[in-house]
Amino acid sequence: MIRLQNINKSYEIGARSLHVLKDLNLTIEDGEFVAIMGSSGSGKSTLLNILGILDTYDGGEYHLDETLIQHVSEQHGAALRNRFIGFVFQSFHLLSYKTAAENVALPLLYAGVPRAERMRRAQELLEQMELGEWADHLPSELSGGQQQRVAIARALSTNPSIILADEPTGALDSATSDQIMRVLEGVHAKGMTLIVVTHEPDIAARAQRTIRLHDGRVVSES
Amino acid sequence: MRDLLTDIFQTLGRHPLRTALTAFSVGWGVFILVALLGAGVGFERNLEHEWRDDATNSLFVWRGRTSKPYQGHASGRRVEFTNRDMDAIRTQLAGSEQVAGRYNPPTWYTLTKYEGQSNRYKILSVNPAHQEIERTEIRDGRYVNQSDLDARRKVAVIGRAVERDLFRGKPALGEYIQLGDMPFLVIGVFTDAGGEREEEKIYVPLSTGQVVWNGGDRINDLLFTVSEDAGEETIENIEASLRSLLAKRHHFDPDDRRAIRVRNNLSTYMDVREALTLVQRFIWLVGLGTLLAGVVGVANILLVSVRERTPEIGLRKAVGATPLQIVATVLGEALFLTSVAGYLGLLAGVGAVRGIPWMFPDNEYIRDPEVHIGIGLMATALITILGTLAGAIPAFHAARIQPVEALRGN
Repeated sequence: MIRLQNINKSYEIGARSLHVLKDLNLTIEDGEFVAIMGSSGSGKSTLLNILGILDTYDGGEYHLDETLIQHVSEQHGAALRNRFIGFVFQSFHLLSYKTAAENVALPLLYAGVPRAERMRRAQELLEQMELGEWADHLPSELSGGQQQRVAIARALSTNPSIILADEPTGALDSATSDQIMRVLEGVHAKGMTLIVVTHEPDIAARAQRTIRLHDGRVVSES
Repeated sequence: MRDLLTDIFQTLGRHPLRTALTAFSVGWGVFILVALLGAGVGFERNLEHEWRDDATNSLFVWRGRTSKPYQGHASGRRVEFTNRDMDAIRTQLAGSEQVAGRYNPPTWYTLTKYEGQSNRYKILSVNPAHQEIERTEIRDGRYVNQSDLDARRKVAVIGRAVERDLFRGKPALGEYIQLGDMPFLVIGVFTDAGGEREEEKIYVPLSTGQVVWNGGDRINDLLFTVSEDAGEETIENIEASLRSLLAKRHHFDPDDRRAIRVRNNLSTYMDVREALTLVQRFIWLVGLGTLLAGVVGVANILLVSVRERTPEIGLRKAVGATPLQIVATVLGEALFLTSVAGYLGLLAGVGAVRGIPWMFPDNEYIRDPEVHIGIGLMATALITILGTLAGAIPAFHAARIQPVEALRGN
């Protein structure tokens, strides 16, 4: 479960202070599928970074599975991300010189899982993504949709608490987008908490709940 | 560990040319350092070898002509030594040990005959102390001794080259040779570390030579040793005392540098050694400079590489890599690159040093060059330390990459 209470976040830009998140409150239950929408500058990227433990916040409290995520060191942050969070990015961010299976296994490397076990788990996940026979291919040999499915398999590899997807279909055509969303829905159907940041209404429409941000505040939930 | 190595190989393998050129610059630095130091050892050994046939704690004194009027004597007078000068040095010069004098026949080379063969050789009339000062090694028989001198025996100690050329492989010991028109009994054959030229000489007893070649009690050159432990300063003091002793005996101005000529072997040796030390320091400077340039190249390339891989490093951090793990990868790359290139450079350097005698078999400057195990170990340590340094700055940059910024947009 995710619980954000009175979260505040400002950025110092020169002498000016930019107040990005203003007393933001948000709760996301386990197994929910939530879409976060908002125009650029609404603070949705900052919210995503805080949720993903990629950024710190100035005030308030963030509880993730009853763990207070506050003042974490870089070292500890890395461990928390590895354990709790799976990331899916708009531009996939696969390592170009590693095979699909190696890409999927990367988080497991940092989790300290032995190599044979990592590769076995990666193969299993790729098969779930119907990419079993592509395991030994480099990302450049895969289509955009296939690459994003490899990225989803990577996000699932450490069996995290939540999947954070930042515009997961932003770089894909509509048919492929639909395919990716069905994969994500399948992941959600198995009980995974799924948070998708998007500006596309038809993507957001597939979520159970849509949270709209404006000027650093939650303006509507539906 | 295996994963770290895989990462390092994969990263370096993505830019083979860049990696190879960077590695070359480090390898070249080590090569230059090792090859120069190895050659330096050769220079040093050559120096030691050149000095092997003379005792370094010895002084040679030659006769000269006065260049200053003194005590009523005009300048330009020839100084002549006699047996009594030898005795004076032995008894009155503090610090002198073995004292030798030699008398050469008036003609530099004397016709020497054995059966049908003949040749011209340099003959030196010497006393027994001469053996140690010239470091003459007796191969067969013996050297000139005191009873030869007392009895003015017509005996000769010949060099190996003399035996080879005159006797055509027959043993010379116990045979008679003609020096000029006098028969001399060969009592010894010697070798000399100074080489062929030194072995084309014939030694006869001083007293015999003085009689046979009408020398009276005259001596051409005086040679004497001082204590092995004498430092440069002691030897210079002894040289000064020697000059004043001989000046008094022969009535020349003690400051007249031309009246006698003195070669102080230790000082000359020390001067050469000092020059060699300077050369070796210079070698280190040049070698280290080249090596450092290579290492700076590695650091530079890794900085570029880290910048290129910013998104990758950001992603690795996002999925759980700690800053330390990122640092390990970059440092690992630096260390791997410098150590592989360094070892290749070391091997090439050793190979080049080994190849010197083969490429230049008859050179007179380098003898038995070698890369000491110490130099090898030092180079290895240097590579490791410098490799770590080369990786430190890029690794620090990599560790500071924020995933948020790295993953933004594309």
